[in-house]
Amino acid sequence: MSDYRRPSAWLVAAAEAMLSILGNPGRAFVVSLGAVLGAGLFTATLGLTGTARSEVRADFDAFRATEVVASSESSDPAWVSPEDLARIRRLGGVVSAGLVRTTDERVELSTVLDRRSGVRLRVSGVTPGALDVIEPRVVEGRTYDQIHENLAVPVALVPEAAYRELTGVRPGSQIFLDGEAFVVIGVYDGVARGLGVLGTVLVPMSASERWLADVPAEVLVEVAPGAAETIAAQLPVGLRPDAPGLVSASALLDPDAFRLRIEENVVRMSVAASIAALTVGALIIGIATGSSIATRVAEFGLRRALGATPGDLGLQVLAETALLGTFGGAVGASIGLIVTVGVALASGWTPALDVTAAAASVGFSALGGLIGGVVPARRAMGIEPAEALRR
Amino acid sequence: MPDSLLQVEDVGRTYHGGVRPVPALRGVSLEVDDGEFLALTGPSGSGKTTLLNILGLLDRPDTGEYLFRGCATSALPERRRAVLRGSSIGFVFQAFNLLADRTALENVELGLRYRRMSASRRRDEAAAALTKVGLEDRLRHLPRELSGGEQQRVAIARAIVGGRTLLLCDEPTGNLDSASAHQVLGVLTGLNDEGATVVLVTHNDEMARYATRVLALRDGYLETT
Ligand SMILES: Nc1ncnc2c1ncn2[C@@H]1O[C@H](COP(=O)(O)OP(=O)(O)OP(=O)(O)O)[C@@H](O)[C@H]1O
Ligand SMILES: [Mg+2]
Repeated sequence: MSDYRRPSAWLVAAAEAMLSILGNPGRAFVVSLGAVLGAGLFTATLGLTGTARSEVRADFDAFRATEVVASSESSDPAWVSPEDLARIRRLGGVVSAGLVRTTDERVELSTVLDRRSGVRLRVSGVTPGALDVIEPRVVEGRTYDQIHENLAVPVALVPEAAYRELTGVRPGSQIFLDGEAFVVIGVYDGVARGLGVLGTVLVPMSASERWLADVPAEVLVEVAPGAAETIAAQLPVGLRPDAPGLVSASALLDPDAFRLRIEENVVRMSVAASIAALTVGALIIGIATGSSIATRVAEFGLRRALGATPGDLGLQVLAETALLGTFGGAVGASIGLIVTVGVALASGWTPALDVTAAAASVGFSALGGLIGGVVPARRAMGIEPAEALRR
Repeated sequence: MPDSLLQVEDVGRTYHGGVRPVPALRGVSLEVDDGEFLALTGPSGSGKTTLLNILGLLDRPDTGEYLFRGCATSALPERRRAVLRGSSIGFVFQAFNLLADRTALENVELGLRYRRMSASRRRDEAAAALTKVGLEDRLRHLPRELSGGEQQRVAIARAIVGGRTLLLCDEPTGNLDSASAHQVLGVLTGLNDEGATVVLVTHNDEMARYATRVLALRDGYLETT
């Protein structure tokens, strides 16, 4: 025939690959199961870690939102008076308030007067009102109160680390801070607010003059959830009606960078695991398609008899594996998204759907299928039609 | 002198796959004219399928030359041979070789797959070919929903679709009962009457009688009659 022209090989390959897959959906499903798993895992891990991360951040926001800190630009260490504090405690939304200041330098803590036998820690002067804000988690003994503050009683709430490292540090025992005698009143191992004092020795404000007399204290305020911004706006005037410009107040704390970094590691590991699953999925497509070539030799021989070149058959196999990868990836990504939404809803979280991850997993699967198809495609191209048609 | 459609000149073909070489064809020469109905007979293993594969450009001779429409084929690149098969040569096999998951119409359409053509034209041509073999009311049937004779007629439709005029049939009635066999030969005879060239490989003398010329192969040689 003189009018005979060959069609676009890619179009034929794609159309025939599609027909082959639709003609045997069961086989297609089994072959692409690996891609389904890989893409599902990939999408679900990224979706779930994303959801968990935004949830952690939301927790963190809630955490921050009950804490307001005010500091002064003035160098006057007595920039805020007990009357000022009493005034802001009466503000609606304020739960408790107090003063805190912490040494820059570490101070020797020892159980005997020999200064070189102890540990070095920073010291915080904390008023009982600020203790209410901080809510130290006391594991031994108790916290101090207004009586201790008023009388400048040298009592100390020591962090759990010191308690562990120095024998003889226990409630009721005597310790020396920079040579000055204090009585251990309690041991704590965590704080609910006021992260800055974590790990320091907490003593009454009035008993911290020795180290902190020149340091202006910060005002720590615990507020009802949701009231943080309002209180932060009211604090300058509330604390210093005479000079509100001296006071800066904010409801913000530094983000917990350490926790976020740990999370990144977890995400990276699960992404690596899903990429491994995607690779295995692609491999399965390649191997299953490769072994199916053997059962389809007669079909390929027939196609050659009908005018196909070896290249046509190779392209068709590549198109089949790429399509299987794409289908498997799409199904897996959908399952991954559904799992993300399901887990999030069951946990009462807001699902953070990672559409980019879903699209990427489909792309990876398609590419994996294509690569997995190279060996079976070569096998199909090598089929001798005369041999194939004898079977 | 006009060239014959097919010219086989002293063709030899030896298989080297097994323990020792098997000479399947040992110097075969023959010509097939346009519009002929040739039967190839001979005992099992005499080289009939080997010769048919060479005629259909699915296999190459080791020695000698094969000319298709006066054109030497031994040096033709695979792509040209594929074009010739797709445009001019139709195969019919003993086992029908239909794709089980495709309808009669789709199986016939496959015969046009490697040729540039719109989908609707491909459909029309396939339907026309099925009409020619008397299966116009079986277009949507799957192979398993057709009798053996009907399946073989679908295969014949696939072989002639798009105006192919050389039909190479390898034991097309080997899997059929006598009534279906005669029906299939009737179809081939009809196509031959319309101008198609038919080469029919058969064991069966009754079927060979439909041909206008009969050649016998024995041990890779053409028997002189
Ligand atoms: N791939 C192969 N490798 C080795 N020997 C082969 C191969 N194909 C065919 N043969 C041998 O070549 C010879 C001719 O085979 P061919 O298939 O052409 O015979 P045939 O006449 O078609 O036989 P049948 O009537 O049984 O189909 C036989 O002896 C066969 O065993
Ligand atoms: Mg044979």
